[in-house]
Amino acid sequence: MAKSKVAVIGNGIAGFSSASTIKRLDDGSDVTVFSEESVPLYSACVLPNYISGSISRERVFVRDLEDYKRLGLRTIFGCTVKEIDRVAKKVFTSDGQIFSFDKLVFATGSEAVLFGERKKGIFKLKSLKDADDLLAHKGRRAVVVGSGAIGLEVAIALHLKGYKVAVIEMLESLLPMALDKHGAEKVREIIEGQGIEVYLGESATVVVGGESVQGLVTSRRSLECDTLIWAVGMRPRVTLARELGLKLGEKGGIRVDSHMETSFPGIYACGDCVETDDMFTGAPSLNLFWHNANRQGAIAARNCIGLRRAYPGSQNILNVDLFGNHVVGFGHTETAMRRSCHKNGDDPTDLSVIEKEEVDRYFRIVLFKDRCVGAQFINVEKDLGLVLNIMSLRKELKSIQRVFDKRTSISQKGWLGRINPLFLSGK
Amino acid sequence: MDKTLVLRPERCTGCHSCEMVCSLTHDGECNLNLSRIGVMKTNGGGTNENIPVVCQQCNDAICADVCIMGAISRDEATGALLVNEDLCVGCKTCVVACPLGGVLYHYVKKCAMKCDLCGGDPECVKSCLYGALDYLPLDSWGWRQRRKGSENLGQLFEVVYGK
Repeated sequence: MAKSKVAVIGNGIAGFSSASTIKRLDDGSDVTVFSEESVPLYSACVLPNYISGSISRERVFVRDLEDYKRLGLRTIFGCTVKEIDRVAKKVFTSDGQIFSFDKLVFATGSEAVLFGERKKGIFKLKSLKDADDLLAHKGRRAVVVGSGAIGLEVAIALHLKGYKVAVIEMLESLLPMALDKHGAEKVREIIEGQGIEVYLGESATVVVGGESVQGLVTSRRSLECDTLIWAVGMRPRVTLARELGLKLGEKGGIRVDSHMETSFPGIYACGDCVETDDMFTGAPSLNLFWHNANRQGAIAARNCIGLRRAYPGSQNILNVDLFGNHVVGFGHTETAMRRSCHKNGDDPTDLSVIEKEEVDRYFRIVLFKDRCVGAQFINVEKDLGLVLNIMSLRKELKSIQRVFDKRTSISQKGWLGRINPLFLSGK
Repeated sequence: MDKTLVLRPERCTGCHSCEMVCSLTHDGECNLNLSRIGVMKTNGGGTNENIPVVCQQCNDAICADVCIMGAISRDEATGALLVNEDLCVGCKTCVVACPLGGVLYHYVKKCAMKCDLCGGDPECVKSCLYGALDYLPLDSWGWRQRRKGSENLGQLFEVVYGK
């Protein structure tokens, strides 16, 4: 049998995970990894820690170039893939090289959403280069637009570096994708208590300044700044896929089946660029998280070499540390569920919430039709895995509650015991 | 993976010596908060049982999947999932994701900690005076023990929770 040639486009976690899995399971295959960046795999999730200075630049890297050699992966780093011919099965790079392939894995990832023109002092945070640029820039007053996990983490990192930081959020609460109003209010108290300004319900309208940024005008006020960071979200990078004619989903990602195969047989996609079914609700969604990309990469790789393996769905797990406060969000918020109820014509009275607050601890569980679809925790550190598993299984809460109703108390480190009040206090 | 930790809840007396030996081996102090293994006590449904709980070294490990630094990897020799403390940034995502509580947060080193099977020679097994812990080859005998253990656990759950 001839060596099967696999081209992996992208060297994020999805690309690396698929390339290394293919090589591990099928040693004879010839795997080539294409990447625009010329650095080995690094973790974009810890870039805020790098900016704040809590970890060094070397620690951002997850693998080094030696690892690629050891795994036997061919690397074409530092050049863009210009075109793909799926009939002739060839990849054309921008510097004129041509590679043929039998199977192709798309792992092009995502890109930060930007508005307005580019000026000196305007940054995003997606790649290591962005972080390096931000560190090279010396500023004193920063405005962060967007209050997702990246926005808040960058705001905190810059605050720790001595910047005066303001966060602008278009919606009415912080971390809008992960927390409902009450939890978000607690987060706001934490953030503001440390001296970061928070402006909610305001949208950025005009960026002031000539060559370099001097301020930002929002819908309610004007803020002076020398550093502006766009953290309004990520979107899948699908330009290449669109040119190739791959079917895109309703959310804008590459649509894949449960085996991570795109609309063209033999072409797989994984990572931030794909749209998959949500594990908690089953609806198509973009869940641009590290762990999803990691799993999708491994599953795409298995299917690529003929080992059929289905993808169980994406999980939305947000985990941020805000000045020592551990904020965790699983799945969907009540607000988001209400919106989707309205869209799908479901009855919003099926939604219910279990909520509890003790001093600085807080949790909220969102239930829809007796199934757990979302959970939010602040400073609750134990038993979260159990809730996550219950959510992933999509089991009816009744069946789980039957177990908990049997009045069992567990005295020490009780993962069952501590979850117990959580289910008994609700319905 | 050729050997596995076998837990026998029916023999456990809840003496916590495994926990103390575990923290002593790994961190040089008897500290139940730094123990990778934990004994849970149930009292309900007329039973008083002690259940040792420790990382099961899952085949499809969620802790390794969610790690943003790729810091949890499998040791080919023992089959244990190990935390690379140089890579770990202490984000606790693995702690959050594990349903069993197999990964814990090391509050001194500020990183994740979990059972590493002591490199193939678990100290907790040696410390257990009652035979509640065992480290057995994963051949048919090991599997038989495992199945027996699961049957016992099943019976226990029946007693505790009812049918």
